[in-house]
Amino acid sequence: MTDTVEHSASEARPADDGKSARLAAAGGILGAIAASTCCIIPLILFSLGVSGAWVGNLTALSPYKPIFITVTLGFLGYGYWMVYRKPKACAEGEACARPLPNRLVKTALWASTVLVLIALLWNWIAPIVAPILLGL
Amino acid sequence: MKLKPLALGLSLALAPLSASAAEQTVTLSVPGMTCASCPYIVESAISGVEGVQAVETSLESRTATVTFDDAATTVEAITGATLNAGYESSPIDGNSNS
Repeated sequence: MTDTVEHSASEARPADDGKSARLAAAGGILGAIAASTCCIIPLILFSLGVSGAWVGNLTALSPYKPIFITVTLGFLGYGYWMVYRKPKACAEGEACARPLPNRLVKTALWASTVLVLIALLWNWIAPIVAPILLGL
Repeated sequence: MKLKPLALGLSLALAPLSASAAEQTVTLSVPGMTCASCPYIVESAISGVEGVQAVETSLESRTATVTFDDAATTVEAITGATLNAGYESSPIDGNSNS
């Protein structure tokens, strides 16, 4: 899950901004996944019939969940600030000419926001979702 | 081992094939059951074991109390099922053997 495309961007400022926004989005996604490994992912795996003692490695991460959530919120805050702050670079830079990475970054930011919110509110979501998924 | 008529009737109804069905209750310690969705997974895993009649989990005490038919399954099979779902468990009381 590293950077896939690294097009020789030789632009000075906008490329820098775009890069750090992408990094923040990637960090947010990874953090959100880490925050959901202990609890959400085992539930999904189990409801899909995937099992094995190795799942215990995921559930063992549960004490670190608050740390993952905090780090993720940090990445997301930075990412949103990079993407949605005053778009002054548009006038001169080439950031506007390349809307695709920006959209990708925004999607990643929103997806990880949703994921981290689910992880954060899991104590209230789980009693509703788990019985449905597991057919209890 | 004495069985209440109701419990006997229940176990006979649930396991009509095993003639000498003896109901047992074991309390398992499940230390990894720390999150809101964990007890549901543990409960579902245990009730998937053939011969298990009732499961009750407690997130607060991190335990699962299982009522099962010892002619159909064993404590080892039940702890194995929880381990397979990602949660190690072990019997707390000495009530695992009859």
